[in-house]
Amino acid sequence: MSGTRYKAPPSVRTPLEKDPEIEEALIKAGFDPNLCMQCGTCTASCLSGRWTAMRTREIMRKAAFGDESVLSDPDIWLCTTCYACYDRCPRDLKVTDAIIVLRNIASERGFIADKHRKTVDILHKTGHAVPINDKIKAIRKELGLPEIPPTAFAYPEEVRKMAQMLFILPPKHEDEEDTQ
Amino acid sequence: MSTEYSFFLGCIMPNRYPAIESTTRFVLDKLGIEVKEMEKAGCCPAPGVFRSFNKPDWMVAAARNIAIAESNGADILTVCNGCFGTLFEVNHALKHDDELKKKVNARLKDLGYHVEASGEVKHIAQVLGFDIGPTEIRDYIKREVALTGVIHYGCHFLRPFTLKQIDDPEDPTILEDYFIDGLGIELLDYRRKHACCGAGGGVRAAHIEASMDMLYEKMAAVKQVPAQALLDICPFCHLQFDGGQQTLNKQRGTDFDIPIIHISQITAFAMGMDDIGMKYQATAPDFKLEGRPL
Repeated sequence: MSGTRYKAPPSVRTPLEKDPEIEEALIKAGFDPNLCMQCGTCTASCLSGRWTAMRTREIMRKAAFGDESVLSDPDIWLCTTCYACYDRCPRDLKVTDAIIVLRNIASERGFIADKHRKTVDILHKTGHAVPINDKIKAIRKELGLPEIPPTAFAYPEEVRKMAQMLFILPPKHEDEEDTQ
Repeated sequence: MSTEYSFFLGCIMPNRYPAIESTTRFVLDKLGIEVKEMEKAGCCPAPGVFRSFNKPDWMVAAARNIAIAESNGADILTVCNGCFGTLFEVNHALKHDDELKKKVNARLKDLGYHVEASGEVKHIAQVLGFDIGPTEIRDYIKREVALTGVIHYGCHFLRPFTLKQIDDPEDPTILEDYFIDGLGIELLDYRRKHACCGAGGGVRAAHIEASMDMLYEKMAAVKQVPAQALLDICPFCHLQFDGGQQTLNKQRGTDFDIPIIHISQITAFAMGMDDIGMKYQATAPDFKLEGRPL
């Protein structure tokens, strides 16, 4: 036999166990779960899915049924937001936006990778996702640019105000396994 | 075309590839476009990671940047697909949704800003390739670029099409027209030309293996054609291609060595700048562009 492995036996769900927050968020994001006909154009268009276990159609099916297991599934974080599925969906469903709102709900419930938390820490400290370093400062000088760009870097008070208000992440979900 | 722009720096350009910043400033100066600095601007914030955590917060942070540009009284210019994706989408949403604008402004007040979303958000590739265009750019260049290259559009410049409406994302020609007719570059097609670089969506940050798999597929396709360089329009794609080739070579024993050149760098070269900062890059730092008389 080939090396097919199954992570877990297929679970049986009763249709009444819907996570209402998921359906509401999908509709708001422009993805009406009842309009998705499960054609699979999204999966076929997905570059990430060529290399990973991410299957967009499967994520959308689970989400459409309000299956909350989709929130703790690390696969929703493998989308590069390239929008190929979004532009190609024959029902004009906003697939990428739907993945973003699923990630938003997952984040609210604490399903955030440690490495993503670090990115937020850097933003809170510097106002930027990628901060400057000494090597780059020297290159900037050589190029005739100001050593430090006139951005939030130079205004710690602004950075502090933003850090107090934006992207306050909830603590890690107790069930989350750290895969990093 | 506007004669002045609020220049949005973002994160990766000023803090990883400052040569893209200096060449952009050179190009804008030659075009007679006045640059207005966006004092206190922060991260756009990135449409992958930060939008994924909290979309409303992402909108507020982006609206703050848009408000800074508005106080300059000039439209925003970005040189990055990620910044373009965020700022364009939020500006567009605010323009068309007064309720949303009210909500965002209520929160922005605590940060000391107010947004109107009255201006536009532009990408440098759109300004060079469309507003100025391949014919008129020839009035500004001093030499053609003697190069056989491949191009990478990246995702958020053209997609989602319903929002951006710049060119057909499945078969665009804006960059081909600009590079071939404008700068005299020979371009080659390659498999996976319109595929993503694999960096976006927070994938490079948290799932580097998957990100490198996607990059590998792209670079392997580039290697099948005799290209001297890969031209891009986004510092994040640039980082993925330039740094990622070294990562792949180290971890997977490949021998990728394709120089990566941003549209601002190559345009600056055509306008007469000799050192476009290739020596600061991780891949092919010794690469020298050749010119050809007009």
